[in-house]
Amino acid sequence: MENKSGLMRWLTTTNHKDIGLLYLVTSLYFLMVGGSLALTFRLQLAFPQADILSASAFNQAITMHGLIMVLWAISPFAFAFANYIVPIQIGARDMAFPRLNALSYWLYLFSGLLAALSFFLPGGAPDVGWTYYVPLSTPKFTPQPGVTVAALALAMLVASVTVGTINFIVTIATLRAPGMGWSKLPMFTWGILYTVLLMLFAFGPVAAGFFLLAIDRVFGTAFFTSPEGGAILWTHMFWFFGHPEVYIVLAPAIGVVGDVIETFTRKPLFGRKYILIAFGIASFISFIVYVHHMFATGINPIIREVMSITTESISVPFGVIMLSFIFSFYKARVRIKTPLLFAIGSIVLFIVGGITGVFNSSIALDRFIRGTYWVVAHFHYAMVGATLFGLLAAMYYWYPKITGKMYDEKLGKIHFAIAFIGFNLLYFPMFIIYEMPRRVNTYFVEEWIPMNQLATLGGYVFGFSFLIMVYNLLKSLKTGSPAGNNPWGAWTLEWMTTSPPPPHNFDFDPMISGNQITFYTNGGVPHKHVEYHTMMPMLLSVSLMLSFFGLMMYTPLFVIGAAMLAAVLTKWLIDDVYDRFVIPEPENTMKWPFDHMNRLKFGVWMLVISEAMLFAALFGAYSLLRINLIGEWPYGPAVHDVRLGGINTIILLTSSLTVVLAVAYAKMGDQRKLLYSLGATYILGLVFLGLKGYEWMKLYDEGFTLTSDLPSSLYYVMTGTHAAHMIAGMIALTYLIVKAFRGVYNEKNYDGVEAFGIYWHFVDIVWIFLFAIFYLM
Amino acid sequence: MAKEPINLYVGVWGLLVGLTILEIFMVLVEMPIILLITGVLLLAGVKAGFVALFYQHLKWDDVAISWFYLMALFFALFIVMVWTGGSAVCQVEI
Ligand code: HEM
Ligand SMILES: [Cu+2]
Repeated sequence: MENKSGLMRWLTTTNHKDIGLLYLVTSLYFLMVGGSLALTFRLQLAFPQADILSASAFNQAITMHGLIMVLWAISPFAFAFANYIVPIQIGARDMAFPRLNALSYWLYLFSGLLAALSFFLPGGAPDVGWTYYVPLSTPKFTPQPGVTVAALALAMLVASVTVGTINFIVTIATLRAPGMGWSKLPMFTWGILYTVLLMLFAFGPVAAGFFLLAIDRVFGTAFFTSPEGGAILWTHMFWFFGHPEVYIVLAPAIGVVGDVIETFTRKPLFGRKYILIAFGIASFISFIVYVHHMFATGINPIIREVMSITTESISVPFGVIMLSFIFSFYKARVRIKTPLLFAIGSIVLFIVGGITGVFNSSIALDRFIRGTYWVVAHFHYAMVGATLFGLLAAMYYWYPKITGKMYDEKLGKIHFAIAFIGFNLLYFPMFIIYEMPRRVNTYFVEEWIPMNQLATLGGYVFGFSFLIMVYNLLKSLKTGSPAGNNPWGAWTLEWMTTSPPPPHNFDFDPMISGNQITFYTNGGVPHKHVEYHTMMPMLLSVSLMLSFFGLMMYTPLFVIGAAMLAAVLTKWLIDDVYDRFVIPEPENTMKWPFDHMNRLKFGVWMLVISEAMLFAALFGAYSLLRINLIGEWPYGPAVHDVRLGGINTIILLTSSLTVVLAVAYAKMGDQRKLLYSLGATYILGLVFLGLKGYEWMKLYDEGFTLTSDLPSSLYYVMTGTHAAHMIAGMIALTYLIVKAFRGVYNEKNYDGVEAFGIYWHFVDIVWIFLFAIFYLM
Repeated sequence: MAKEPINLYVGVWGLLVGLTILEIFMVLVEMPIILLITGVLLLAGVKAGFVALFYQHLKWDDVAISWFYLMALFFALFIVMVWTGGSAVCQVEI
């Protein structure tokens, strides 16, 4: 395909480095938006009873500040580097799914714009806090559309994150250059790997939570307004995600700090292996501690106790990581450069954040500091201090690689000094006024004035320091001295190619043997690069944004958006039918322990895992509601037709059989039987959906409707979600049938059918449980 | 031309259908609710296991994928237990 230039290049690119740059610019933009909001409400807090912001405007500002910073600024800032650097660090030419990579970016951008749009709606942006606590965020208390629009924007962001997660897992697991075993992966790649593994399991449940909330808000169900579900259900759904999310935010920074320390101390990290193990353990534990955000709810004391202990135990692996980092400096010939300064800053601030976190994890202490500025200080030390400083280290560290120019070292150091002072001036006073409640727009207590004013001053100093960085980086684009391939004398692969790297990263593919990096000479003929361009990821994201916005604000817009979406999807599939976007499966890469996985199958497996987590949360909601409604929950067989449900179950099981046979026939090269099996699957799927529709209509006639009570709401939501998955499967099936007609599947090429099967069987498994919990008990 | 275990697939299907009929039968004979709930959930788990093992090819595929699945299963059970166990009905004083 032709090379594009100018604006078109950026709208259609699928190259991981271009996408990394897009992430970089966009995340810095959102950082600025979130930062401006913060500077505004800091002004309000500098004086008692100030009225720079009304109570409502204040609430909007802090809510959007939190959402934007956590989800649209700091995590994507990390993924800017992940996109740019990780494929090079592992010696790959690009991500496993370049087109989906573009889709991740565009969904991210337009979801952010959709969220920001809510400022301009009647009633303004959400003012419910970034945690969206119910009942505050239910329509009774906050009827304004902005709350729903931002929730839909979050759903869109979850889609972006899920696609990105799958892409990075498959890329890191299967595209490593020959010889690049797991133990040789650079720390940053490890950091991103842990990040995406956490994302894989954490985002499904919160998607389910926002999904239920949106249904409450749009269709009037009562998941979060009823006493049986309500606040507790929400806090579970939110914090199961919310706690791992803080590690999701942190993990890339730990990776950066690891790489930077290795480079600037000129020796391997102390206890590298133990860092990685500790990292893994901490990641796992982060899923089983989240109730520490719910100590003040009426939760079962046993669970509270257990999670208090697990929370405190998480400081052990983090202690290991931090100590190893510190020991790495021992007897090292340290070169003090800006990236290293930021890395050290990150470690120091993390230690403060971690230690204060241990205070929060004590149930007794938490009663006093919950909801106060102590907590605000704690998590800003962890999130802004540890994470943002780590990512700023990344900014300076990789700037020469990305631009080919050196930044101004003196200005870099000045930036660090001012940022570090500003940061501590901003957040340390908040520990001192640990009695001041957070999320309140003003205060009357005289003693709190000086600390608040210090904090506000610190905020402006901190904000100002970023201007120095922007000036430095922009100026150095023009006047910086050439960086050369490897200005830091580092060892990882990204430094073994030009700055900036060629589109395909390496002219000759790298290979690692022992501690040596060599390059395949390939007879002196450099790798020929093919650029893939497509507008579809961008258009798909625009149409999704339009339809979500239209859904809330203006129905014709919804219709236009939905029509566009359908058209884009069709075009995307047609591109595939005609093989317009084929990237050959790479050879010789390191894949262990995924040796039998091809790209597509692995990708679908990861999709299935994230879907499994989404359904897990829905099943969790079911069990919570059912136990709280004990005695009132209708006996399944009394409401549902067990025989009809049974027949439908058997139909779906049969469709699984036909799919698995289709895979077998494809492998055997039997085109005719393959087509018959796929066709049979299609018909069985249609019959299942038809019967389902019939059941729904019958139930509606009997007064068992979406909004009649919690058991019925849950029935429709869960079986509806399942049906939506079936419909998505049927669309994929249509595509397979068209391809099978064209005779592309055979003994050698059956990936598509096999991958589809994995998804379809998963949908079948979900139904097996739905049948059990709704029809049989 | 590879040998494909077609008969095995059909056999698994027969088993799945059989278990489904058994589930329905359990409802029709009206057993105590606790027994019914336990039995039905167990059977559903067995069915799901067979689909995963044979139809999703976990039996033959990289074990690492099974670990991912087991991890999701672990979190699912964790969620169900903590969310139900955390609710007011299940509270015990310590
Ligand atoms: C590693 C980086 C960390 C980050 C990014 C982080 C982030 C956060 C955030 C965002 C909150 C506030 C939730 C809210 O109320 O809105 C929070 C609270 C909390 N953090 Fe951390 N934290 C980190 C480390 C730790 C550590 C190491 C511990 C314990 C050893 C800890 C324990 C807690 C506890 C118990 C709370 C709840 C406090 C309360 O709301 O009263 N955190 N943390
Ligand atoms: Cu937490």
